[in-house]
Amino acid sequence: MRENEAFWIVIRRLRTPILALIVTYTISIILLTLVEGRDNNGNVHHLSFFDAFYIVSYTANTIGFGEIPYPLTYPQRLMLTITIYMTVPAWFYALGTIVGLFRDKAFKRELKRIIFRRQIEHFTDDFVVICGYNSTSRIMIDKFQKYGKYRMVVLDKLEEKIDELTLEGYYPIVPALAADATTTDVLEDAGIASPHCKALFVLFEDDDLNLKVAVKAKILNKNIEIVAESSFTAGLHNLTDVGVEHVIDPYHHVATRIEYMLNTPHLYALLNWLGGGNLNLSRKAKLTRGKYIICSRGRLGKAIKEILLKNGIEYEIVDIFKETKAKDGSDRDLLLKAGIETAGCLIAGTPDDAVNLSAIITARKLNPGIFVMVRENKMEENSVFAALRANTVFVMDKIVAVRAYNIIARPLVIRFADELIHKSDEWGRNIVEKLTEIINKKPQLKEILIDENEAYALMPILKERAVAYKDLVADVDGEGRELELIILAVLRRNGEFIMGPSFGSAFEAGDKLLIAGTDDAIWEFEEILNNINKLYFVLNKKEMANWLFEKAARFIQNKVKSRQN
Amino acid sequence: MYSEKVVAGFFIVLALTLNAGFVYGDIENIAHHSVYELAAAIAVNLIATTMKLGDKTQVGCVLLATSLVADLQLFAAAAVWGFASNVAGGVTPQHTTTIVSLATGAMVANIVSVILYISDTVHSKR
Repeated sequence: MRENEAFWIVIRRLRTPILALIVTYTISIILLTLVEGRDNNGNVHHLSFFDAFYIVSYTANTIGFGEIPYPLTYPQRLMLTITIYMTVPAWFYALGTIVGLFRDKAFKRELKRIIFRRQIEHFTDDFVVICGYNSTSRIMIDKFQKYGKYRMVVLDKLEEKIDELTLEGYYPIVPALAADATTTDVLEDAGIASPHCKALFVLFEDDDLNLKVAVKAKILNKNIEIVAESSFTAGLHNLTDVGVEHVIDPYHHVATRIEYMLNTPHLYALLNWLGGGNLNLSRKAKLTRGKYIICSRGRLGKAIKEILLKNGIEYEIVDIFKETKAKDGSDRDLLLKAGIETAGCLIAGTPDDAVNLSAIITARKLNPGIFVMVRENKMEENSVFAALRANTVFVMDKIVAVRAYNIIARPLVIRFADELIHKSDEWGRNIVEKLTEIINKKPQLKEILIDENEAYALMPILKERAVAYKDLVADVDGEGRELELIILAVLRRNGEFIMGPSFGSAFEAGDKLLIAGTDDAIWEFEEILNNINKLYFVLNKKEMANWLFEKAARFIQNKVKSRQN
Repeated sequence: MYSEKVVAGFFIVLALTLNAGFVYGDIENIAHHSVYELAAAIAVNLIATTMKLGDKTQVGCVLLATSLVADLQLFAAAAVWGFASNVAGGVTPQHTTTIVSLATGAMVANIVSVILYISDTVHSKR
């Protein structure tokens, strides 16, 4: 009963109007039957209970059919007048209360909650719960919707945010509820305890809030994976202590990218692409090692500072955000003081987009050749940032969103990105060149598990013979057409993870493949894996014999022969 | 003392007593059964039902259910009476039997209701 508290309160509120109706009706009906009337012949006639009920019923709601069964006498009319003044207001009161109920906020919220809970109870697919509807979760929702691996449930404290989500008109429907995700009730409503619930994303900016939600969710369901955002080392430890498997520190990721840019630009290109960017090779040149000016005092500045220190690069930190906000000085003076004219790189990393934009423009004026990195906070400003042509733009929301999505939906991508650190830039260049050479566009990523579900046709063949990657990819139409895809990595069933396996290595049952390619190529590859006829053709370069067709052919041949005889 | 409980108890018991008063008498003789008593029983039963609305305890729910049963039976009795006198052209002993037995059924529901109410009161610590 706990779940619809407000519903019961509402029912209780209907008590008084209903009582008013019953009492006024009863009094009216009894009085009407008691008063003497006359029939057409002038005999004494009392209204029956049915007649009285009939008259009161149509009088009370102001319909007024008239005087039945005989014209009323004056005492009866007097009684009916009293009846009218009792029952009509009682009706208005009752109707008013009912109408008021449907406008009642608590009642409406309760109704919405019931609908929300129903939607989730009826889920037959696996789903994930996302706490907070913002630009980060928007990117994630789009990705989940596009690749359709999981359904989603969204919680947000603010009603407006939920309305916004409803306006997006997602299909399949994304159930959303305006409620405080830190309460156990709400998490239960969102289906955390359901066996279909696979993951929970808590990506609030506030570490405490993330921790609160994560702890409660873990208690409700031990098996779900939790992805949380955290940018403090302490917060990170807290989260891992309560059993959160995946903690995303966006500032750490930005700093890591800068380190890759400094030392291994090709690996950076790969990393950037895995993180949702374009596979861009135009910035092959290594990052300058000249002086760095970091406009960020906070956690981002600290993370970058550590990287620069590690690489022995001179840097200067300017708290441009605080000083320009306090009107203590213009960014021009601050940048000049920091030595912008001789600096090699400017990192505009404040949490305010306007300050960042202004810093870039000023810096470019003072030092036209300077390399500019900028932090973009609000996705809405995308076109402005694009127009500025900053050398590198770090979109914080996107970095978090893509990583969070990959953790749950494409764990191999995360594994691949994390293993890059052990690879040389030369290795990265090889992969990047291969990718751009074969695919030439923005390659798509796909994970395929070699099992009965995702490789229906290949599985039985693997038992008979070995099949190498190149057997399925190198020549698919018998005329040497190669599929535009690359197998980036493979996770063997025994846990061995191979980066960039050679073209000649063989498929094994239970392998998990990470594939990059064009949409068409990936689609075709999946078809080869699952369609017996197509697989037969690709492996043997001839059509598979069709049992029925051969029978028919033989039958006709025999017929023709016998006729000739 | 808890005035809401007093009022609720009053109506629940009154529903039973009125109901019993109506049923008492020869089952075939309509003169033994007052139409006003039936009307009062219906009204009081409805009030008792309303009083039980919104009580979300287990006992409250069962109380509401028994009350709804009594309402239904009494409505049926009143409907038969109205049909007999207005449509069938007079209340025959058969009609009377039906009316009274329906009201008796309602009385059983009311008895259950009162028993539940009393047991709930006995269990309560205050």
